[in-house]
Amino acid sequence: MSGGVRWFSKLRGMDAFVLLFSMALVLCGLWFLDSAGRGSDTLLTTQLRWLALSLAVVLPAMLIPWNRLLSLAPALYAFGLVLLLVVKTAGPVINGSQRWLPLLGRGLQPSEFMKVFTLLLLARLMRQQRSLQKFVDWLPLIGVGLLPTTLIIIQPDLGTSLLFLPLIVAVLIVGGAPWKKLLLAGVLGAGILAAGAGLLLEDYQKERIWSTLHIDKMTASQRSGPGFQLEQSLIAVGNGGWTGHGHGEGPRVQAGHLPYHQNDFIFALIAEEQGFTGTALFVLLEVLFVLAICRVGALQREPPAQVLCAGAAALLGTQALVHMAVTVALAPTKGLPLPLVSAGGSSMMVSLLLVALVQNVSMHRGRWQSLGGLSAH
Amino acid sequence: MTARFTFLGTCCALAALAIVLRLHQLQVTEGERWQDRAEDSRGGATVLPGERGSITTADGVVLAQDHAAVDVSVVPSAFREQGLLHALADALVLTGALGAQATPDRSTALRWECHTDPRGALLRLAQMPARALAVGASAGACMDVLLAPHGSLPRRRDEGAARLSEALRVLQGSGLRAPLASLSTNSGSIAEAAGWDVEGMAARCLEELRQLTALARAGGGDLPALLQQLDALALREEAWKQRQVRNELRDAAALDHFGMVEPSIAEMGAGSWRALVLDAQASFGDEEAAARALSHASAWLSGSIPVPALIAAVDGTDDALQTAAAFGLASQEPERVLDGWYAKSPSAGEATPLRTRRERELRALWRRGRPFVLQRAMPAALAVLVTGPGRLGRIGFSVSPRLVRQPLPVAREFRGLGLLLGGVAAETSEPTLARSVEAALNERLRATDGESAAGALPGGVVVVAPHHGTGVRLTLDWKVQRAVEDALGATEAAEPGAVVLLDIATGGVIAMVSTPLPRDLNAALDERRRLEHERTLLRRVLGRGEGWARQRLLSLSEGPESAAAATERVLLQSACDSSAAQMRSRLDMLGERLAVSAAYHRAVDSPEHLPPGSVFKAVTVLAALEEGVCSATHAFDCQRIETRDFLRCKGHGLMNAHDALKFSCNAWCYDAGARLGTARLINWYRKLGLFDPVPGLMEHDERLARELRTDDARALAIGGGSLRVAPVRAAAMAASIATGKVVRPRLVADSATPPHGAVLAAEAHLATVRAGMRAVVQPGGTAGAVAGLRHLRMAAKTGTADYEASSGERLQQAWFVGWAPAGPGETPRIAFAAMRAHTHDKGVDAAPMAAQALEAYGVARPERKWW
Repeated sequence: MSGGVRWFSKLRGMDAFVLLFSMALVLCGLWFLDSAGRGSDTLLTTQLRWLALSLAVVLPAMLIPWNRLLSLAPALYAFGLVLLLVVKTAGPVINGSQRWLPLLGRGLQPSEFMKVFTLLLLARLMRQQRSLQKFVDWLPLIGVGLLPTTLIIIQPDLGTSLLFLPLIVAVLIVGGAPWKKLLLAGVLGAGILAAGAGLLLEDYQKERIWSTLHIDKMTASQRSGPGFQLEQSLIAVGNGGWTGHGHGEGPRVQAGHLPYHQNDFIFALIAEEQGFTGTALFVLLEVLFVLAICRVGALQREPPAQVLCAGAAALLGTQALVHMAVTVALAPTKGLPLPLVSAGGSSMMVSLLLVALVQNVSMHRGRWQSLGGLSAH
Repeated sequence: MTARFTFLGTCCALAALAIVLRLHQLQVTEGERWQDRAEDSRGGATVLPGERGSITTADGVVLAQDHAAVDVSVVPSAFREQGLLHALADALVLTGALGAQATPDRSTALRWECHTDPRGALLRLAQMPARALAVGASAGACMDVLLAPHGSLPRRRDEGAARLSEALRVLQGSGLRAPLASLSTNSGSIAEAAGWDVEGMAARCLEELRQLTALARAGGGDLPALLQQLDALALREEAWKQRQVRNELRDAAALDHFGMVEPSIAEMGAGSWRALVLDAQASFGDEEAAARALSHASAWLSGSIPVPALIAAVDGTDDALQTAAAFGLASQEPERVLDGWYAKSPSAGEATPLRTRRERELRALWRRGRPFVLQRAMPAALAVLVTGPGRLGRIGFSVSPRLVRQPLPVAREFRGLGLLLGGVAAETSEPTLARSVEAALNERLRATDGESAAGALPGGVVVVAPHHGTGVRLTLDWKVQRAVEDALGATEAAEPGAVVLLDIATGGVIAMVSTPLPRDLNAALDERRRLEHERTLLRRVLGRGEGWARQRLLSLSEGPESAAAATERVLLQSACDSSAAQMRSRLDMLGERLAVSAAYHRAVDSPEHLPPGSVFKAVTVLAALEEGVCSATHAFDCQRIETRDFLRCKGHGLMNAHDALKFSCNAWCYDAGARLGTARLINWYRKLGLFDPVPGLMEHDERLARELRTDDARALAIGGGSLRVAPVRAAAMAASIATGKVVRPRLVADSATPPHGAVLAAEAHLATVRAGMRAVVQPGGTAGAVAGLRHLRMAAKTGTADYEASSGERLQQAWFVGWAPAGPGETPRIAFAAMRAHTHDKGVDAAPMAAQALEAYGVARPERKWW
């Protein structure tokens, strides 16, 4: 069998639901970015370029069997840590934080890629460590998760760093940790987080949390300062009404009232232009996408494969949910792009990498069980 | 394991459900509240102007810089409805001051009276009996007057009463104490009934008049001109609003009655039409109002089909046509679409509460209007007139900050420099002159505006920070530039020419003067554009034939109307009406006028082909020596050459390389050129940087290199053929020979390219050429007889380029190019090029210009003087 035919045969093993929903999200994203461009097609063309580049990068990640990828995990993880150190020591300061590395005239965010590398290493650990019955068994997993979290917190990039938490929790859940111990750890963890938040959070971060909880009590300076994004986002969302203003017609977004409407607040654009009906359907699409990933994971037998799917679902799902929650003031303002939808090269590439890992797991199963699969064998 | 994944999926679904519920709360339950906030904070984004980089001379004199300015905008409807003077006029009209013969013209006259003598008009109103206020409540006739160009826009059926009430409120500065109906029962005057402080009101009216007059004067006009401008904007605003509202209402009405947005007449059907009539009658309670509303509705529904035609189409009865004629609808067009529609309610008082968001938005559209830019780039001090309590800001005027490029006194005073710098358009902030410093350095100087979103604080929140352009320091020496201009007597009457002084050590242009100077820079540039445009068109008509011109005329008449299109139409029509001979004659005349135009900086730009002539023999001799086609001692007898007369060689006899330059022997160079060949000569020109860009002045000129390829090497060798050189490049050529290295000229002090390039030629060959050029100014040389050159210790080359002018006359361009000091052992400091164009003079006649320029240099910078 020639290489091309073999590859095509592998591609036929992709999960149809994940493929369908991820493509739908990407197309929705392009459509919304067309509107976010406010008459200019720069955003759309840039995103299309990133999409093409990302597809070229993720194709190998999909075709190389995942168990081979796991053997590269320690090296990739170490490489990611080095990048995080480099960005902290030599990266340019943009908006008060060091998150980007200049590469080919564009900014690359190593913390985004670190999510994938950490997931791969966690999956590799699960190949070696079959039991998570005792707290002590959890330590390697927690350690692997906390190390990059710490490095990302000091950038500072609280939003991305917090995504490692659901990743570890999801790995522990599908890794078979006892429910009681998970509950106990959850209570303890929440307490530690609350105490840590009081001590470690910067003033502006506390003020953002306060603004989220007291939208109507914000002073003029808060509305212009830490609460500005939040208020503009809520006005844009509320302005959407039942049916929205239509594609490219959202008055708030189109008049430039909402900064970062193309990435960190694209959900507000969707809400204003598509209204409650369209936005609820979009949320449903996001949920179906995450459920489809969970479904692929549930069909796996090997723990590393399950961890890969659970981790991808946790990372993509949490990021999407936090993005949406921030926009509607259910969570404090935090700049997180909506996976597969928001503008941004690193985010798009990493989101597609995670989808590719899930498809990799689906394609390289021992035998075919999925009803939704494209394969007939 | 499935259970654990189910748990994960359930968590995700529950979180999503919470988000959907929150969305429902924000968009549906609390939707109106957020929509109102969106409406209230529709301030829009504010521009944060970016500053274009400044241009300074080497000695720190600022030549061009951005200045703070403001754009003044206005919402015409706000001006009309909130302005005291307009309110005064409205009140007078609606209380019957115009009497029974109210006409738009009389209304206009009354309004003008209010704008010139507000005190008198106010006293007249105040003294009117209070019962006149009742007139406004029923003054249907006055509506037409209000609709005149100076009038206000109607929004309700009871607009007369509403507008009168609003006008009195505006005049009084606060709400009326009693409704109009009760005021009108008072037996005294309006002032007594309403309790007016007439003197206070008059003072406010006069203050508004003063502010408007000051605004008009700041824009260089007067009050009538400003009011006319506002009228024109008001018409545009009305057209825009009507277009918007008509579309919206047509869609809404069509949806209401027919369930579709654009029904055809057939789809409407006779039954629906009758239902619409009945509905309208029921709503208005009187047939006339129903018919008027119907006429609007039908026009919205059908586009702009006249009502009778529509009725006949759907009904087909004579009755319908008669009904339409009875109401005078036969030719009525739906100009006032809102009249009737929002007042669909039978109640005559307040307008119907708005039910849907779309209706609210339409109302807001009318209420707020759209600001039009009234005057651009006004002095920043004008902001005081507009902002602040009691200022013009309260009647719809607003200012937005911006930065504008204004010619500084130095550039205004020295108009030649203004030509070199070029300008920047106020609207686009882009350079207006192609070959200018502003254009050449645009990438570096350019700024981009930022954006600030409306926030609770006055400054808003910066969304996009502005990018400021980088300043540029030129190599020009302001003192030297002025001194050279003075020394050359550069005036409007001077003959076309240019002088360039170049610092050999840095390659920087120290001074560059072009003559004649433009009397009015902008006028000269406008004339140049007009003449060039006409010349281009005439050449096209001659080349492509009259058919092309006729076709172009047709497409212009069908295209959008603009000043440029109108000008082109006139020119094309004139061309079509002329014979080929007439067009050629006109072309010659245009060429002649352009040749002496003051709108070219001849140091870098020229209206004519500028061959360097014998000046480039220096390059030919150097190339011939370096390429080995002849030696320094190679003797050539120019008397023996058969084409001596053709070459206008004087028959110098036996010549070597040195003498060929000293006597400027055409035959010697002709022979050397033949041996060198075109390709080698072009290589030498390339080596000298003839096609390279000059930072801050000229771009890469590969086109010239291509054109030269087909030229005869013998013509090139004597500076003829297609060769053309700007004086600044000619000076650089001299500098290269003086230093022995390629000198790259520049106008920007911090140019990235090093001033000196590769070694040009062997020192021995250079020495021969230098000696030949030194001999030019010695007795016996071509410029040996010119007084005042020798003490400057220069080496130079004369050049006389012969060409046929547009008029057919044989004219010459005189060149004198060289460097100084050129004495034995002296380091060359200044390279120069002097050129006189469109003349009968010879190269030697340009030599005094160079001498004067160098003398002026010595006066301006005595510390650098070498003689």
